[in-house]
Amino acid sequence: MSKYFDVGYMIQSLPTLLSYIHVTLMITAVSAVLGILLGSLIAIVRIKKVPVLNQILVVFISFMRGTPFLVQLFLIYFGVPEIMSHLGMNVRNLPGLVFVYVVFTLHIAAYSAEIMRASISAVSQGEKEAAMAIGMTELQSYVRIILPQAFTLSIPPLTNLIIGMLKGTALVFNVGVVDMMRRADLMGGNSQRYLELFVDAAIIYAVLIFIVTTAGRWIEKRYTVGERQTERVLLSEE
Amino acid sequence: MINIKNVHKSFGNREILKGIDLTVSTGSVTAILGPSGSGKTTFLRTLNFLEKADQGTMELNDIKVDLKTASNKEILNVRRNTSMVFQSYNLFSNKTVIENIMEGLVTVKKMNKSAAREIAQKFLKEVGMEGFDDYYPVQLSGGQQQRIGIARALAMDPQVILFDEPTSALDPELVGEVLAVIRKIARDLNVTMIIVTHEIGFAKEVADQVVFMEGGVIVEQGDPKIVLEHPKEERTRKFLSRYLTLEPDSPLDSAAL
Repeated sequence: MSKYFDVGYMIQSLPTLLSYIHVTLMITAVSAVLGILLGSLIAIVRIKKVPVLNQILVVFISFMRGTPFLVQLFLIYFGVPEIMSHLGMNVRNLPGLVFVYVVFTLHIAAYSAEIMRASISAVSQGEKEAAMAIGMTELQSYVRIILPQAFTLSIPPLTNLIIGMLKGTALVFNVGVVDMMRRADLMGGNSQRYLELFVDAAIIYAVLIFIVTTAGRWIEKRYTVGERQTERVLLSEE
Repeated sequence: MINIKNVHKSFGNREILKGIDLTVSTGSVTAILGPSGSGKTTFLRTLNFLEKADQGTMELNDIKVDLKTASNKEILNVRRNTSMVFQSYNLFSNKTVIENIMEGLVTVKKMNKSAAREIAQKFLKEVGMEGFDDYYPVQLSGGQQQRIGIARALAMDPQVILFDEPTSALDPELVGEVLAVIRKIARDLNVTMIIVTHEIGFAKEVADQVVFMEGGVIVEQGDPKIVLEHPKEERTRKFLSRYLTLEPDSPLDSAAL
């Protein structure tokens, strides 16, 4: 152990860790897409107050928001095979990644359901009435007037949620999935230079999150009516 | 001809409408006056099912509906033959001025976009808002937004337009421009209109029929000159008192309007 912090080793290890970035990105992207779709459906069921389903979903959301993520991961990873085996199905050989996808999707679904529900409720009730009054069906009023506005409103909180999930992927090594954190841990075991590797990981996460944040801000700006249009009208008047 | 009979509506155990009957002839303007909480707005909203009445029927020319038990299809049919202008304008904030007016034509009437645009432009001109096509509602004043709201209602070519306090949310100086537009369409377009309003002077000038409501019932109705200048009912007289001059027997002083 010559140097306390070996910059050379840190730089040299970065590409190795980077080669695991796809695991992080895949988990985040797949669960974000599926989770937000599922969450939007849950939001509509909640707003329409569909009997029975609504109550079940309230419990579901409260559970997903009320327990730590790692606990949920363990419950599904260890619990589901147990339940399935009682039903005569063996899912113990499924790769850990499958359980990771399920937990992340459910987690995002629960949070995004509340985000979507709030965003839909935040669209002016009066505009919905105006849509109804000119003879639109309920579906038309949702598709043409309410959801486009709710979508714009939901971009900042959804970006936050995705950032949280991206960081949450650093926990998946607990169920045997090898991502860059797990890789850093393994490499550190050999080299006894953990700090360099974790600095690498920190840099990679920070850059990823910077990209997600920037993309979120861009989309928000692109779809927010007021600012974009004001610029255009002011320019055309000059 | 619109024939409305026996409309009842309660919210919880508070009875808001206690049996309203109203007949409106085609092409006429009916103004509904009355103190806040008298049920005027609720009554208007039961006519296009934004509130579901507990009882009542409506004949809108050849459409006959029960205001309580109408099916979704009947409700849609009534809404497609009526338009509403709202107190808070309720323009679609994700759409431009021209898209706001075109929306119903394209989505509900299934017109193609160029035909819809042409109609929209005609009504934009009618309300004096030419050239504002590409503005978004947030960029307009309240009075301008309300004029777009009126254009949106007119474009649907309804059998009746329901105005729900169209000027109540406006600055006093913007009220005039909106009333001028309503006055103009009443004169030029021969549309049937039911207007809930607090503008008594305006009602007297534009309306063919005035209805005074209080406590969920119609207290008095008839020719505006008679109802507003020589009200028979004590309650109407009291409501109108601040619009009358100090001498109790003189007709409405136009300066007080």
